[in-house]
Amino acid sequence: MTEIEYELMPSKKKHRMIIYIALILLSLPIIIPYAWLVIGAFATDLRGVIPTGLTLSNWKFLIEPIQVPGAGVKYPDIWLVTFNTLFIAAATTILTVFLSAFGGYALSRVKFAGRGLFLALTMVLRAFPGIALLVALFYVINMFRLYGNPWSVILSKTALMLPLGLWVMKGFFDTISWEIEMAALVDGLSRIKTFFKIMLPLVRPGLAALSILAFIYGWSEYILVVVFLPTEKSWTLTMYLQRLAYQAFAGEVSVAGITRPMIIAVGLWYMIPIILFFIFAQKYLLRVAVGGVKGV
Amino acid sequence: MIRDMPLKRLLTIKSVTVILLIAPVLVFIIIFYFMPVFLTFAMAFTDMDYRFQWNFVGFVNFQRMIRDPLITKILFNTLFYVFTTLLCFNVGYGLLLAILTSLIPPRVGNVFRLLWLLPRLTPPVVYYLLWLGITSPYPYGLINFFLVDILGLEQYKDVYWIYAAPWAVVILANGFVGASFGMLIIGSAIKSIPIDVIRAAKVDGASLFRLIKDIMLPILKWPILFVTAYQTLSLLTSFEYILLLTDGGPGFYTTEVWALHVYHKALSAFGGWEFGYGAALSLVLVVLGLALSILYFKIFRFRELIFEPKVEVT
Repeated sequence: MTEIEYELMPSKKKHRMIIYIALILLSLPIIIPYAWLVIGAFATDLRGVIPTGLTLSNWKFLIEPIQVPGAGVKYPDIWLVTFNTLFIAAATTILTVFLSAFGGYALSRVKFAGRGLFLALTMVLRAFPGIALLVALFYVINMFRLYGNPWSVILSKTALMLPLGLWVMKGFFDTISWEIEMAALVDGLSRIKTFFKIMLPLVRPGLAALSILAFIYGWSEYILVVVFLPTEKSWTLTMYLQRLAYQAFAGEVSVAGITRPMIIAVGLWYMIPIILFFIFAQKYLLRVAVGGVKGV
Repeated sequence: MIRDMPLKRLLTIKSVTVILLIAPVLVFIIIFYFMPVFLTFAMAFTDMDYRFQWNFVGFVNFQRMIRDPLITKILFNTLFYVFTTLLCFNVGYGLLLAILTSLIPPRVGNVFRLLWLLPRLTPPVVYYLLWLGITSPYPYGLINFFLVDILGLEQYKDVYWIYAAPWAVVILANGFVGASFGMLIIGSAIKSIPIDVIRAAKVDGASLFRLIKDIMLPILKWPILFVTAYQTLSLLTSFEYILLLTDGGPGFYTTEVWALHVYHKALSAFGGWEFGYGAALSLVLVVLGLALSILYFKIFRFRELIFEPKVEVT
């Protein structure tokens, strides 16, 4: 099938060039900063995006904790911080995907009392920005004695992802023909077995897409971490990088022992999973990314 | 034997199973949406602080809100921020990118689409680091490097753009994240325009400009409206990039928006943990959010999204 792009494409080569140039110019504000991030992480120092020299010493933070001698500040071990971040991301992903798969299956396949209401509700919740409830959420988290516990972030983030997840999974289950499921049932498989053995494997692309999105949003979470996890032992990369940037980057004065390229290297470290997804999972990203409920 | 069972019986699903499938989701929705909405309403009428005591004080918080001379400034900041970002980026830039990426082969178009997704999927703190890199003083900052070393404008050497032009930085930073939403939604609407319509117009001799203006834009009216509606809510309630970039400053409430004000009053260590007043402030957002959500829901015809499932519950 011909795609619409080939119909819309200008026939003159000169006109096509103009479109490419316009797109590149419009995208420069994105391209240059990301290039800066990658180059800066391996530079001795930077002028704009041009490194004065190349080095690996910016990555020393992976071996020994960053220290600021004068201020008596010692940063926690990067591997602990990375593990904390990974734990929140992984737990959010698993919870979001499983709950969405169960709920999405029921919404797609089963006619139960209140189904319409439930769909309407989750639809409204998709548009409704849950973050407006942060003050009350703080009360709830405190009530369950979860303040300072990583599960406060995991559970809140899962809840914020669920309305989207349910609709994504419902959409995938809707596309699977009923005959396949019926065949399994007629062959004597139980409902539960059919779900796990036949249906889940068939919606694997949906599970993958949702997992990637949930992982990225759990891994990147900023505001919930700031509000619910103040103590250093539960720091995620978000807190680690923010503290570094505040201390040595935002101000005019650089703190002894912390250089700009070092901070940029920490930033690139934080970006690694995202970069991997952009390289290896492009089609999933394009499919679900704007379903996202994240902020802007 | 199973094969002899009536089909209907075979296909029915026990209500216990349905409850097991739906219950976990319901629990989450009740704890993390219903309870907080209810609590926001209740807390707004208390003077609750870090001791979490329920001391109902009537409309005191709302009187305080109305009397606060700064609240007008915050309100105007919010409106300015939401509508400028929305028009220039979430809709404007998004539409531009959507149209331009649909005029080139899909493979190349997708490269640009992915590129514009990057800011959205970058951890906010890394994105903040990028903006520190963009706005820092010479010779580190990217803007100043360009102005001084390439254009030779020495006078910009010591300008720190977050302080010199906080609104521009806030709007650009949020806008570059927001543009991808419009780009993808409008982009997929362009993809679904019937190809024959375009061919017919071309046979009639329509230029590319006329194609865009007279054929595409009228068809895109609906998705553009959707992007506008949806993103108004997101912009109203999201504040993380502003918190990171300017924290409402520089100076006194220069870039403080409503959602950030809630955070400052109730949830930041410097705000005094005024949960009662914070809840009253967020109640304004919650009511607005709920009202707009229900309105969109009506406008964008939700019924079309539901079709009846094939299984009965016993």
